[in-house]
Amino acid sequence: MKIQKTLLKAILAGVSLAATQTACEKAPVEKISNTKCVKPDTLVVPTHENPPALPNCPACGMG
Amino acid sequence: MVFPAIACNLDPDLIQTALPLFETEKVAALEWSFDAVFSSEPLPNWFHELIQVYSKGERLIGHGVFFSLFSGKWLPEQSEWLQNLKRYCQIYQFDHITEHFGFMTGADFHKGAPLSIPYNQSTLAIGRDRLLRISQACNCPVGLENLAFSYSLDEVKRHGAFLNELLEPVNGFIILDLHNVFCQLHNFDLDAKDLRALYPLERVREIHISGGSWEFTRIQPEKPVRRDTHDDSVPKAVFDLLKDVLPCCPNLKYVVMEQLGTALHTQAQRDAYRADFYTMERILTQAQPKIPAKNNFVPPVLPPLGNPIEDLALFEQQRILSNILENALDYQGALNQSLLANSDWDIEHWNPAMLETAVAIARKWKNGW
Repeated sequence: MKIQKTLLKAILAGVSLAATQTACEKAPVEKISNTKCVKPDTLVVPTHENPPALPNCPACGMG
Repeated sequence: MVFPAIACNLDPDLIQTALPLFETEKVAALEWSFDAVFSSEPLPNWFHELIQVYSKGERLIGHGVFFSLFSGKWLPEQSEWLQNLKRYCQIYQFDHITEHFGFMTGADFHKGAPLSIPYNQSTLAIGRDRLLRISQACNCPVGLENLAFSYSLDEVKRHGAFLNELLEPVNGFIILDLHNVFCQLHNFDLDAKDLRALYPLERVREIHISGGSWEFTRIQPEKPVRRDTHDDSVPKAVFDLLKDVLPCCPNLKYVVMEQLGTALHTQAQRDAYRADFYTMERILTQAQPKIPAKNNFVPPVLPPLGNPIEDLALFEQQRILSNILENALDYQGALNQSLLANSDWDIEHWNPAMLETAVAIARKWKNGW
């Protein structure tokens, strides 16, 4: 699947920033810097320009 | 066409490791455990955009973790989970949605680890009812993953047939997790061909490969138990299983590689992850099916569902079992004295090393993550 270079750069910046934060940090709601219209007239998904600290997701590696 | 995919969550180590694969357009599909972020919304912009790329390309698949399909009682968290799923399905276009077999241990049955249940008419009815509800919420094909953990050989042998019965009304499919199969082959000294014959492979739409770890038990120190912990590279034996099973899965669409970011800190680990992906891709390239899939697993049109099916006696047994696994010092003695004795749980035939492992799993995840 082709991913635009601008998005790849944003992903790199995002994960680099997240890696500097600790897993128990929580970004306060006021930090939300924009809302992104995903499907006009149906839903609005709030998103971060700068991500919150990312949880280490066990997904299904629980066994 | 079978698409090579990765399990991708909001995990910086994992995404950083996979970035070269994204850059070179190698990742044909993305599997996302959408319910792992229910509590950490809003999503970072860049992650949302990444998911959207695969959503718009019709190559996004959703893999739930926390629904707890077989909780004997219908819980508020399950209604909430379905509401969240419905909401996510309006934002993202999932090609299918999957969940895990079993019920979650943990205080509210939505933390903890998925563990097995008795295979009887009551659990069959509960599982079918819940799958129909997931199907109604997401309006796309629905599947279940085979469980890695089993208490007994009999349970291992009956798992594939029970999955088939569960999935039949919803025209659902199986995620065949080959590392889970590898765990069972090792833990119960089974032959791969014998176990494969017990699975309805025409129901396999997705395959998982991953690594895991060895657990040394006190009761069986000479033979470690294999666990599906996703914290190491993919063993050669799992790639061999993949090569063997591919020709037997006529409706296969995705092969997904899973690994946790906690095991992707060093350069060597990251190199190994990408090498595993290339190995998986090479195997798939050599084994692309020549005949198109016959079953697209589109669910039937469903009538409105009534109240969720429950089994409160099962729920009580699950509460007792969770409590014993998480807290009891003499867990074998506590089980023998419990409501589970002489019941469909068949605790009298549980492998003692597997029981010790269940205790380790339940205690590892009892407080969630």
